[in-house]
Amino acid sequence: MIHATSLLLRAATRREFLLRHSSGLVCAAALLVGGCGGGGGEGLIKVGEFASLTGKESAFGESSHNGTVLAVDELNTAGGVLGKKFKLLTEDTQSKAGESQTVVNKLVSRDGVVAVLGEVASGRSLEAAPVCQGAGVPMISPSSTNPDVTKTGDYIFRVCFIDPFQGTVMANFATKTLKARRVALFTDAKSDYSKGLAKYFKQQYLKNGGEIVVELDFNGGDADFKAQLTTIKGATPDAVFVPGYYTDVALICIQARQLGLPVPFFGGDGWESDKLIELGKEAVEGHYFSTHYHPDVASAKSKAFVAAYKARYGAAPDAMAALGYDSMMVLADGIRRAGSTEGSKLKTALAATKGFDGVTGATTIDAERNASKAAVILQVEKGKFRYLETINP
Amino acid sequence: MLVGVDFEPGTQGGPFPHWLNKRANPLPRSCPGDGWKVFVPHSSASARIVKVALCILPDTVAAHVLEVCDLSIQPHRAGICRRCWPSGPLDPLTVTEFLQQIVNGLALGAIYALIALGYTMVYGVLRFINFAHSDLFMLGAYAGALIAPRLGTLLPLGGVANALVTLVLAMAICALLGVLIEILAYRPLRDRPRLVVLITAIGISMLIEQVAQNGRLGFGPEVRRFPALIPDVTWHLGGVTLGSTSVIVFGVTAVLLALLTWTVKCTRVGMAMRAVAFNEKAAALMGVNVNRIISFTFAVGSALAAAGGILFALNFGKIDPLMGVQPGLKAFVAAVLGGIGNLPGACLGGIVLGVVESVVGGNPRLTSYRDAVAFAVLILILLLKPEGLLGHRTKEKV
Repeated sequence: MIHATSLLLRAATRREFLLRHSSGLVCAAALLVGGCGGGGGEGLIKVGEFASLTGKESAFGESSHNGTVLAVDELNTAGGVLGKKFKLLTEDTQSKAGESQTVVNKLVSRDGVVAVLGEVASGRSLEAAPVCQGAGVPMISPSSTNPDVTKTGDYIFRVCFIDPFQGTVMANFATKTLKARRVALFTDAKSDYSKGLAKYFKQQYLKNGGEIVVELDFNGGDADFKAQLTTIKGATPDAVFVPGYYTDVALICIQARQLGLPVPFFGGDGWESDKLIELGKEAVEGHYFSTHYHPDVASAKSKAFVAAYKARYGAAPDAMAALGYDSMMVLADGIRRAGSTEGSKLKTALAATKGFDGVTGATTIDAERNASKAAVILQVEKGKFRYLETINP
Repeated sequence: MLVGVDFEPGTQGGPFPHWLNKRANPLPRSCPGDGWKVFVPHSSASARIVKVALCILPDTVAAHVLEVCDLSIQPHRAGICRRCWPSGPLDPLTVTEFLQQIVNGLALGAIYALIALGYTMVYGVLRFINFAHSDLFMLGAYAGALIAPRLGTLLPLGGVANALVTLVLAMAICALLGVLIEILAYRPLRDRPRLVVLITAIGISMLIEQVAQNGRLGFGPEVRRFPALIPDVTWHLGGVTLGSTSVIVFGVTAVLLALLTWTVKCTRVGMAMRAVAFNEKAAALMGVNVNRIISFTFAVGSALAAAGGILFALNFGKIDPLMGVQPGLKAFVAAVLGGIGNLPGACLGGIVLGVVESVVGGNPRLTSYRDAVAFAVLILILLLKPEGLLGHRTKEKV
């Protein structure tokens, strides 16, 4: 009871504080380009972005945001689209459930953005999608892979592959490359992304003739995974599939090492962050994951992007950065083809995106508003992500 | 377990355990037949994992060795035949697994116990729950993370000595912070209704968490790795893995508990504490400086929280500004479970909760209910035995 009250109080004050602050900031920013609360300056196209800039998945949010900002700047340097320049309004979701809806509501109703970009985490994209759908504002998720995200409605798009594909890729990888006949599943019960990916992995892996020896859950943000890992160790799997996010994965690998569980761990794109190595160090060595992009897979477009990103941020881009960049570029392309920023026209143009030459490969939006594109498999080696193979849909 | 003669592929093994030889009972349901099994030879050679094809004959079962597994290459295959072992209470792998869960649970429970002691001590003297306690746990872990790397360059001591100095310094810092919080936030409200102090405690807790999450004023919201204060060594005791961190957790907790018990039971300050807990006014009349005793209680409780924070971070590897919330709540449950206000009760509650949580978390069918079970325990104890396991039933005088 006491705790519930404290949580409520906590949530209430934080939201109020944020709203007050962010609206102040936005007003200040808007004053510079003329007026607060209006539809925005005539010469600007307002694009909203919601990202986990702080909290558990802040590394993802930051990468994605950096990629998007780079795209906006490149577009504006080239003169913008339809004779107008872009203005990016960014909101922080703090990696928390319940925050996305609030901030996207604000972007859509108060700031009057023409489109919304975000989020990395599927759970938070799922929260925001009904808001965008209801308001008739197209939303493009750069890297939410749960299939349900775009099922919300015809205004919701994404520029990445979806979990049924990723799950299939990893199941085949387990069977063919790892030659694992017995796999343990360790799923984040709090995350839509993790549960979805585990489900599709399991389907394909069982079809391949593999055996799931044990299925266990954790809660994202937990500190103690030893209880579950002990059971996993007892079930003697050949490998452990952990479709989670990098913070939890790093801790799981550290504790698996402490318990003496020397089998390969593998997972999905939720792993890809330098934080995985920073936290996990030697414990994550040798493990595998699938993701959207690796800077070593060279295309002319990708090389130019890597160079520009390095020059600006002083580090090589990861998949989230590349997808953040692509999401903005696909949006700009859609606006160009629609010849308008009106929601319904923009939506039709986005749905017709075909073979768009993105950093992460050719992007075609299918009938379910998902992008079908290749996945890459990486391995952690000497504190770096090493490219292993590309798998086409 | 199959008892075989040799391990060469292509040879026949035998004789087999009784359950394989029974005529009317060709194969136990738990043994699906062909596959990986453990063979224990009659000779002195050690057991091996072999792949066998079983031939079921009219009155016996023969095994054909197809492949021998090289344990040096794939050590994790060592338990591959688990499903084929005769099931029963003495299945060695289940026993090892259970013992391992107990070890995990004890390490977790010891940390809960350290935090629960702080709750219980403050409750004992002031009759309110100090919700900021879980944040002192977090601050203790951060103090440790900030001190440890600097200490390495200042003091050329060994790893363990450095770890100890870090622990003591972090405990001292948190003791000071705890006293400060009491003087600034709780002391002015001492004569107000307890609800006022309780809400203040929640406020202080939120204040500390928000400041800690702020990148400029505090530590920033991101998860960080806790430095390895001690070398990571693991021992294997018949299948049970015992990490150096778990051993340190037990050791430090045991020493701190002994110190605390001695302080409370055998020193003048401890006697004064018990007197204040029994009756504040009477204690004051007897010449006990109540303010000083309450400050001392907060100092000790906060120091224990800091130790808990460092041990928690050491055992699980991470720190973040909200790391105290869940363990804090669990420790609160532990304190109530053991009987709030009762020191041995808090320890017992912590240990019980840690073990229950580990056993539940490791069970594939119950794994999702891990946190729920802790709070279900709270509800059950409040319903069935509100005074807790070791608490005494008291009548409220009206």
